[in-house]
Amino acid sequence: MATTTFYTKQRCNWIEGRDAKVDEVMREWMHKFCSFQDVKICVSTFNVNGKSPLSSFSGWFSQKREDIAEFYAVGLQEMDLSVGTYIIDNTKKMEGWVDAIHNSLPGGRTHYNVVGSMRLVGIFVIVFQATHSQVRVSDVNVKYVATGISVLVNKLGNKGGTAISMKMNDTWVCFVNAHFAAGNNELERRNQDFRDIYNDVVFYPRSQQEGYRDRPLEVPVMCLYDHDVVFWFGDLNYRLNTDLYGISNDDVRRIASSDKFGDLLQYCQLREQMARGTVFKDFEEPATLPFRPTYKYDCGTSIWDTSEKGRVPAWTDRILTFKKYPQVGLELIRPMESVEAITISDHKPVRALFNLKVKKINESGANSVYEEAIREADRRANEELPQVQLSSNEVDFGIVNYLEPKTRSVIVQNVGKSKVRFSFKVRPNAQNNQEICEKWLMVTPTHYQIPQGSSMEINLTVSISTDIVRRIQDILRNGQLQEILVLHLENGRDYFIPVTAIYNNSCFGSTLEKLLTIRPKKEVNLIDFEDFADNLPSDDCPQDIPRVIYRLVSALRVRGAKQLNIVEELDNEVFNRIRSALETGQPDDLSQLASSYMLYSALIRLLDSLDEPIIMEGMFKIIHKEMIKYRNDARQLWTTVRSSLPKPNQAVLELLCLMLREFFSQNYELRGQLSLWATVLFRHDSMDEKTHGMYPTVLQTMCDYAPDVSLG
Amino acid sequence: MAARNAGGAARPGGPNRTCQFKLVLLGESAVGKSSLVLRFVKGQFHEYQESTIGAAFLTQTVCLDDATIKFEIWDTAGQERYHSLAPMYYRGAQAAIVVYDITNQESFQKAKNWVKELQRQASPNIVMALAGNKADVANKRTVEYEEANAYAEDNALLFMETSAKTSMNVNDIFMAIAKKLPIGPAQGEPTGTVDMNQPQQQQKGSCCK
Repeated sequence: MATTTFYTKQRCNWIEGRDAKVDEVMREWMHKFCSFQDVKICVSTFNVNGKSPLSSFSGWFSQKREDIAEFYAVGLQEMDLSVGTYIIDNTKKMEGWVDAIHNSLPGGRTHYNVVGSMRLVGIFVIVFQATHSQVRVSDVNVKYVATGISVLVNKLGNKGGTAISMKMNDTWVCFVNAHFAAGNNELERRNQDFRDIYNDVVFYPRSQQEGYRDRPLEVPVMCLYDHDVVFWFGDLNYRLNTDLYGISNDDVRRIASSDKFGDLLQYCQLREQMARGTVFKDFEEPATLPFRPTYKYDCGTSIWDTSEKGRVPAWTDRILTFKKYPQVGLELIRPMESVEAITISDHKPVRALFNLKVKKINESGANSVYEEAIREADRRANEELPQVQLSSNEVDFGIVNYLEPKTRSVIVQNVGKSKVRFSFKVRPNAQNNQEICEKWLMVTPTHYQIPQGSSMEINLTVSISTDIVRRIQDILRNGQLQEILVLHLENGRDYFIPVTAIYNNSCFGSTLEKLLTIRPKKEVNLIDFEDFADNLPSDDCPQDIPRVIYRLVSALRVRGAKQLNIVEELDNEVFNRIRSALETGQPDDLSQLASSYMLYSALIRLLDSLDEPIIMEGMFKIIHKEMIKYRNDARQLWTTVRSSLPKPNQAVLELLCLMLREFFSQNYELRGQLSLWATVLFRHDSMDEKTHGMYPTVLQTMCDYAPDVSLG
Repeated sequence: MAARNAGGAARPGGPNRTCQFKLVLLGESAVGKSSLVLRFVKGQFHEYQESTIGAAFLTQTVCLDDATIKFEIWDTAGQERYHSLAPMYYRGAQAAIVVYDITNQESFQKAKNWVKELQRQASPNIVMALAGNKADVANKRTVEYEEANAYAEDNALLFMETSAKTSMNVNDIFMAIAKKLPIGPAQGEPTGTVDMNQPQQQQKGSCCK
């Protein structure tokens, strides 16, 4: 019936690792539901160089009353160097060493019980608990990780680590004993040894290992960093980089033997690697090591290695600690020290005495604060949500014109408690290829990071390009350009920014039919159109040609081809002046308003912005095909035009051909413009190489023979 | 031995699970969606709550007997012009509260439209609740309790009249939803819940934040 205690024990609702925020609050509030007990833990590491143990080692552990610990954790390396030990599991030497350690503990072996031990060849870790100790030790679990030399796929285990995990009352503690790669130049392998052991020391609950499924995840799978405390010790083999600084072996030995040995620690590879964050991240070691390097001595003495290799002294033997969170009460209560009197090995043992505040969770207490902690965690989480203020909730561009981009900005100010990352979300059912907004709107930047307290400007630009203007009627909603941007804060809320603009219905982006209606009519209301009507020019514009096209062509013909400089640069301001003159009718005569090239460009833009090309394809898509077929036959071409195109299209085409014919006769070079005109008038697929070159020929033939000539 | 095996039926992590659910609030503007959330999450009430332009986000956890439910609450803008953006928020939601104002008949009609849209477009397993808010001004009521209740019954909705101002039924409606949410997915039936029992290091790659 002993097994039933587990089920009858009151369960704690709080299980660490489910919710980081709740854990944080519960840890802060631990005093509300935990009692703490001071527990002394002595840790020692010793590379024994394969030596057989004495029956005990006096002085290995302090015998002073105040130094006596409840737990002793000892890690040995090179406990067994015999070749056989790699093949046959020979426990004899181990038993000798266990006895030796047991006998060396203060007060003698009868005062201590073994909690657990683990061996990987010569890497051995053992934990003792004093018989008088009141700490409830549970869930003891062991693990080894072999690194170093591989034989086939298996690691030999000459290097690696052994570890013991346990719960002391309700505090998870892990002891890791490791032996890293040796040699001055094997720094990277030592680092790799660390990473391998760190990652592979994972304890699966015994019940799972043994195939019992009775308490599946009651004891969680424990990684190293899941423990409240980790003691990591061993022969880590990190050396001194003194040679890089030109300090000779002799100098190192001299300094190491003097009072100034502490000066050498700055050259320690481990310290350097830790400072760089490559290994032992979040582990701690005392700022100074108040003992001489523990390596390498002539065995049986405390004399630096006199062998041929003459190793440079180093602190190879180390004890480091890790605390899962800052509130864990772990303290080194005596200076770390080495035991110089033990001379059996070429290393010296190192020992450290810690005090650990071992916690005991009061389950009912924990449960009573748990709900409050959840609420507190929610409160904190909501408070930490990113927050911004927008300079405006809505952007109204007012009136926008064709090819006249307009920019407005929204200032986003980070008023929250942390940095803000924002982006724009793609709206559902977006018919614009996963863009964040419609093509007439541009947003920059579309994502960015704003530091706390800072602000940044997001620029919104409305730009009505030819592409857009051709389908402007499909885009307009309630006569407006409308869009809603969804500004999303990472891990936070969304803001909607409605954007509106009124498109100035222009002669650009219109249809031929509509353009035809923009013409002065005598019968218009004289009050509304007073100015316009007063200045009505005598109108010689043919019925079927839109006045805006006629005015541009007339002005160009008046100025003549000689003045047309097609390498001139486009000036948007002048273009806007022309557009405004076309729309207001003032001045009616455009010939003095701008350069020939600007008028010419305006004409091309106007035709290009029409919803359909002048030479449209018609319902059965045969017009272009036919024209290609008759590309050298002016009579057939004009017949096709006359029979297939609507009247206004014919009239405009004839007018344009007339103009081009004049231009070509005045300046032969301008024939180079034919392919541009073909593109404007046909809007054919310029990627179709088979027909692409034929359209200019069609146009040329039509320009060469006016319809009245060719059709007789 | 029998005692040992009895424990074998226990769900991983024991009876107290933590699950995260996305909940969305929908309804006409000014019916009190933000006020309900503010009351539920912070226990506050502002007489003049600003209009929500966008979708506000808050989290709140509730404890049931055998589970801890963490709500990820999206409080959406009610104005009609933002209607087309609502799917961004109710898609993938496991719960929705459709809110109307008991003094505003039109808001009740809008609520019905929302319910219809959710029935059509949202996840078929979504837990829906109807909240008739502003129950503190029942003297100005234009939507009868019985009418709304009957509608809710017909459509299998949870229904409560609530008041963000007096906090009447506010916690209750969220709790009622929590109790209806699928805790502990049956084998082979993904529900979109996130089991947070696994230590967080092992959760990478799941949809849990």
